[in-house]
Amino acid sequence: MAVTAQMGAPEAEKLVQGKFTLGRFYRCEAEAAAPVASTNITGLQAWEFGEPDVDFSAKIFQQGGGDEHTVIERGFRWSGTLSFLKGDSWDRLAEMRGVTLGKTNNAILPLYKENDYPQFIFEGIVRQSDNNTHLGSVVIPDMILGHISWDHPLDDSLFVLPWASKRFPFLMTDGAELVYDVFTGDGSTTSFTLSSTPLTLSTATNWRLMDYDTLYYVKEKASTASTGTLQRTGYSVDGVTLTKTSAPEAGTLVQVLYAKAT
Amino acid sequence: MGIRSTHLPYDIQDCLYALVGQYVSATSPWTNWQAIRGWPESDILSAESKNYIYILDAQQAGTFGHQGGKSRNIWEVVIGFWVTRDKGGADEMAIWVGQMFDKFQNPQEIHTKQFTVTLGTTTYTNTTLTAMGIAIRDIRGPSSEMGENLKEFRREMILTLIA
Repeated sequence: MAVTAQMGAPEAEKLVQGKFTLGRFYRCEAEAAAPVASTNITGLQAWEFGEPDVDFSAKIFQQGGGDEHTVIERGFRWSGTLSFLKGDSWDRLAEMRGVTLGKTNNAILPLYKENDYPQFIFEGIVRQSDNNTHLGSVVIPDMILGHISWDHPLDDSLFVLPWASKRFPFLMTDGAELVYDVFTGDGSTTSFTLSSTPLTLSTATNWRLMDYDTLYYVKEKASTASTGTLQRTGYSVDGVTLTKTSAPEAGTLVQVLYAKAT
Repeated sequence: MGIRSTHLPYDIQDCLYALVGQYVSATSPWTNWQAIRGWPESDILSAESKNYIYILDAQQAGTFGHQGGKSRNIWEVVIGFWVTRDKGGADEMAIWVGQMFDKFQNPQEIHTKQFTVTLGTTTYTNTTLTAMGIAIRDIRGPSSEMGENLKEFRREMILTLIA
């Protein structure tokens, strides 16, 4: 192409605004369901995250290699915020913590971080200004709510919810949406029927944080456990059939996150 | 994209005129009104039985671009309502303003509403704003315009769009 080449004007739909984006989430600790229903997030004003913190980072040199080196990183932790209209604080926080705020049994919502367990999976569906044409999505799996601060200025203000995640966020193509299926093991069943045919996400062997081509992850949560444990091997997918080499124990929840065509 | 880069202000006006024309032909209470393209003179109003929605040509309000290429324009389009006292007056005006917000603040509705428009020698049948390359961003107003007669009222709303 010539150095004098001139491109056309950018397409109108490339100017993306948050007001045309649908934010929704899935509770990580949802009861068994295939699929788990998502919750649309009302009052959402903004969301953001930065590059991750890493627990370990090292430069690897070798003798005779001069300054050329490789950087290895382990223990990623992404963090960011979700911002809501202030008046939505009570309802949104209750939704995300999976409780109903009310006078009967949940009259308060503590604002401290209870533990480091994943609480919800966020799916930001970015659309054209017709609110109808999907441009693509941004997914932040396994968000962990942080300690919450509060301000209350004289004028309009936002409720800013800090979060972190130990699972990598990703962009997802247009025409695809998340599916979160949760099954209950009975000690003998080795095959589970997914609610949709999984899309091929990528070639897992090309990505060190991926374990399956068609699953973002599969976890098992024992009936006595506080959170699910990542299953890096042992599962396979054929069509809508998810199979494990040995049956999950009775009462164990099998949590599967993948994508399907819209 | 159907609108022509050589005729943008008028093609945008034609598309919006055709879109509003679709509402006034079939959707209550829009059927009480009539759409015209451009600025109406008073003799037009007095000669017709319905109040008017008028759609003016688009005015450039800004641009956005990218490195190494042309820019795209942000446009503003005035859509006005002209009513006489004997055809509803201020009450009818309030209904129109409410309807404008209801339609143009509903992205799915306004971008999927089908209309037929002819631009130059090409007719686009059952097309949409999105298919024609028009993205509605905002609507504001109404502003009050001086009427030519004390028994007439005009209000104008401004659409912001990208095309």
